[in-house]
Amino acid sequence: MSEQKPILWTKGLERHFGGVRAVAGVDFSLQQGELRCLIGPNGAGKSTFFKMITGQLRPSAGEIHVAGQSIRNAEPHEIAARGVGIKNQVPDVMNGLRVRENLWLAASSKWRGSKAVTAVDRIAERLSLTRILGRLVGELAHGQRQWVEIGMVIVAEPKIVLLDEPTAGMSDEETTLTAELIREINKDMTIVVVEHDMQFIRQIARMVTVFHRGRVLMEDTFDQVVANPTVRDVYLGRAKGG
Amino acid sequence: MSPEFSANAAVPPMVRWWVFVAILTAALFAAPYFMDDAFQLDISIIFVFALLALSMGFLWGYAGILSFGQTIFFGLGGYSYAILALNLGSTNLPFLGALALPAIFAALLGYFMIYGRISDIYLSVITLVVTLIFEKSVRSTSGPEYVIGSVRLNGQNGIPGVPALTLPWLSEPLSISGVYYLAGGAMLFMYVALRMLLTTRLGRVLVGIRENEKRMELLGYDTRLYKLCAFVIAGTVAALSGVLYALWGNFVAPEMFNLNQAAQVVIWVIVGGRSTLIGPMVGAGLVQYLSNWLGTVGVGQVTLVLGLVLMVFVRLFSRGMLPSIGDAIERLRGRHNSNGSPL
Repeated sequence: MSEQKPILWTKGLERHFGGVRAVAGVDFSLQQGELRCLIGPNGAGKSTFFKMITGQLRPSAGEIHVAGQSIRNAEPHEIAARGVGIKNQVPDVMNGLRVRENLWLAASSKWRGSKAVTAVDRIAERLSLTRILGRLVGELAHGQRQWVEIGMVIVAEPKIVLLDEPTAGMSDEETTLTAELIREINKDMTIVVVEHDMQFIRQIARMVTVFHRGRVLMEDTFDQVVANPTVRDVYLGRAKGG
Repeated sequence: MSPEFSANAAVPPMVRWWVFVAILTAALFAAPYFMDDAFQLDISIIFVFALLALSMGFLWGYAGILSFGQTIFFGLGGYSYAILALNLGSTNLPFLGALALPAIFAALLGYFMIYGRISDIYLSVITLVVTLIFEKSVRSTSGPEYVIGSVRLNGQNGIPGVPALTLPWLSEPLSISGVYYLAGGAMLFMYVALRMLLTTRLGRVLVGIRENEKRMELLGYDTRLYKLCAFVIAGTVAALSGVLYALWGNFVAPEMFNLNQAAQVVIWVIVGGRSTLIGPMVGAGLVQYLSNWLGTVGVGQVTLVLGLVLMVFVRLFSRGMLPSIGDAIERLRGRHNSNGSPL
């Protein structure tokens, strides 16, 4: 796997908000087909990192490459067109529209006519959304909205899927189903997941990257990461310095 | 009428909507047989304003862009037609030119605002300022040196004697009835056309952008391009309204651009409700009818009374009249059928 060129890499990536360095020089590399988890305490810079990859925030410094091309100055729609899809931390959907329309808009970014409609039906069945296709998204429970958004992200079959806390607000059963779904879509797509739920991460992750104070603290297998005393200290808030 | 409401806009209209359009069309064509010329003139101007309200209703209600200055294109349409028709001595080409010129101006203005990524509130302010600049500029053209071709702009006196339209298949210029049919036909045609547009990819993407622009960008849509399209379409519809206004009164004046006119368009849409296309048109009709009636019964402070009526309307129907009525019908249906889905 390490012989391949990475599908996504960043070098010295930084983002400053005034005097605060939310992301402070991240070197990150992701191979095609990987399923990577990003963990770290609140404020570690994970969501800011995702926002830079998707063009929602411009980096203050550093490089981002997707599929061999720099996306440092690209617009969000250009990055999406290159195959990067994101589910944001807070459900980011069209609440005033029905589930079917949300999924159709996502599918139509790639397909036209009956192909888009077929893609909607397929994804709705896969995510068990068929029954609620006619409901307004704003009327759904939080967990269901999360699934609608995941559906919107994967329906256009992006190369890289970024999932920011996909199980937030989900029941245990929904969380297990989400883990199964993520493993399944990982057969076709490269995935990065930001999560706090270690049980969930245990179910899906092979490699875990730990963020702390805007930097990569360590990168290893799940077992190695949870066994690491520094990581435990970081999560318990006893880390010294950076 | 519920299929037209925002959440259902993508669904092609149902049979009952087409029946509604057919009845409107029949009523529109039959009405002149029961009206004198004066009444036809009164109704024609309501059609013209309904078309202007429709342009704003589409842009604000479905693309989420509040252009406070739809009167830019209303005025430009009217002035372009007047100047072109008086210069060329014909009317058909000027009619088309008077739609094309404002459309080009809308594309330019929209490009700088939308691609410049100014916020929604600044877009409202800029469009308002632009229409006021037009008004001020046109008002200051009273001197004889302000001539385009052979047409004097006449400043605040406006341009009188705007030629009536002679359609290619007719030998005579349009009469009062002709203007009535043209205005009513244009209003109905644009209403149906915009309703159908909402079922196309462009229309559906616009509604998606109004709901959540950031998400649409993250899905891969260049939202700026779609918003610009909506701005140009709405500008062209407003221009058509302006041309019809010029044909209705054989006259154009700087008031077409002024604050009073610009604010009225917003009020029509608020009264009628901006989550439908028909709502703003009904709003325009009601407000226009009310102000005419207040004028004829001798109420001195028409604007003050209209302001009070607007306050009552906003208080009673926060989403506008038609959506509120639609909601009430949905609620009643829900009560009768406890299993009834919100569909």
